[in-house]
Amino acid sequence: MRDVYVAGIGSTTFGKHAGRSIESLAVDASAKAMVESGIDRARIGAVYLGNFISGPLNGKEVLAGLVAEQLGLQGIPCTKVEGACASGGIAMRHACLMVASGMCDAVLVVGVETMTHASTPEVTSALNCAMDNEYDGLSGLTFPGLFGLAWRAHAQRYGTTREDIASVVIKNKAYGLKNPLAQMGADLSIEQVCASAMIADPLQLFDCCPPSDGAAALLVCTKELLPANSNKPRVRVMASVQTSGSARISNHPDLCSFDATVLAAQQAYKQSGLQPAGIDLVELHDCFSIAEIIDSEDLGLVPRGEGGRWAAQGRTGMQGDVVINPSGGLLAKGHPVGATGVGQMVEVVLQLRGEHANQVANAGIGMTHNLGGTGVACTVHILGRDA
Amino acid sequence: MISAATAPALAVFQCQSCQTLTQRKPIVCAHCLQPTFQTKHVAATGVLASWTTVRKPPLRFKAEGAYHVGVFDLDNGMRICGRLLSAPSDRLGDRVVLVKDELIQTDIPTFKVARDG
Repeated sequence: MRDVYVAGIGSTTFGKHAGRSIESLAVDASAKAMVESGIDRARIGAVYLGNFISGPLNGKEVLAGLVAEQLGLQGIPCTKVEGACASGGIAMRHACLMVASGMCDAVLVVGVETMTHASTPEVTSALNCAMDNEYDGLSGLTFPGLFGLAWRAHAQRYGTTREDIASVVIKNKAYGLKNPLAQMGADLSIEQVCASAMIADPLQLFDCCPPSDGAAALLVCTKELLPANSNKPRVRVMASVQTSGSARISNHPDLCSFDATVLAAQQAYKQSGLQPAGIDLVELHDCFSIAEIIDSEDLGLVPRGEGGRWAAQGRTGMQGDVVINPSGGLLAKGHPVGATGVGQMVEVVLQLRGEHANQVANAGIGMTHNLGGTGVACTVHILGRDA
Repeated sequence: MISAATAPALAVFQCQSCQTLTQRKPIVCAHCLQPTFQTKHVAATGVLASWTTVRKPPLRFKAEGAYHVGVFDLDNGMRICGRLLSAPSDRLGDRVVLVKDELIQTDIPTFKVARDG
């Protein structure tokens, strides 16, 4: 298999883009990535577009082809991939496979979603398409509800407190203030977090990521296609993994863990030859505050059951043992579902280049973790800066 | 005291080939890929694995307002997702029993904490 590099990145801000069409956001981000890469468009052999709910919320499908045409990319395979919140990560993995296998020398990856034009019940209903509606969905379970269940189980088993979990919110919201791409950074106190409206007990409003509009894009390619005259550090894909887990909560043996994440992390460490201690920063799927705690444990970055305490002690902050979500994560950056996984890559590439607005010192290795549905789809990528 | 013998029964599906139990009827058994099932009634007692109160329901449940969803580990080893007739003091590990005559909707198994044991 050939090495895969990130030649260019592009992103819109995440937030409200009232009046913008979904494809226009994707085109914006993609054009930035293509221009930055310096690679001739004729070398791009495929487009993978991550999107979840453009059908129910926008009445639009075949987005990959719509976007490619507006970028002057014609005659090549253009594919929309969907894996709920992991759609962007899955798009990236498919692009990596195409380059690594020799099928293409360069591939455009783009993720996009628009959600803020819809009402909360409409968005909740659309997001619930990621649930098995012949099983869990019949009970009225929602995704905030799923993580409310996980929170209660984690709290009882490991003693994780409301204050522990609030520290994740406070950290990520503060980092969001530093990120120009972020939707909802804030300087919050524990009191403010704990006073916010209850959404799915014990999950409160500030524990939830906001619905968002946005797009992010990458151009991945072979080492040979990287511009020789670029002064930017080279960023290589060291691991690209996709796994699956059960779509039904009744098949989850542990409410405090997602099997798909555990498996993906194990495979990513094996693929890269790295151990968790070798990861300088991670952009992980904090769709809800408790998710960051569970994810950090599932990824092997924090001992099982210690995620809450590590967060409260600052061990997952900028000066901590492992830096988690320096972008502000989904909680502060926003969660335009199909764009999120690609946006995480953009954040990590900026860190590895030393160009991030909330720069992690000496960042050499970064991980992304993108989880879809009830853990039915998961991707983990590890990116590294070439010496 | 609610025992397995006196507990309400929950109708589940059993694969006729490998005897695997599932809450809802599958197309084929995920274990042996055979398509034939029979209804089986199991004692609907167990423990509360976790619960939440959904306060922002999707459109199809919006008329209900807030409601409680639980995960229940039945004594026969099955894990069930359904509704909970909850009180704030309900704790994980509490004994639960199916509430047959208080179903919110007939296709949603609904449990309550068995405070009498």
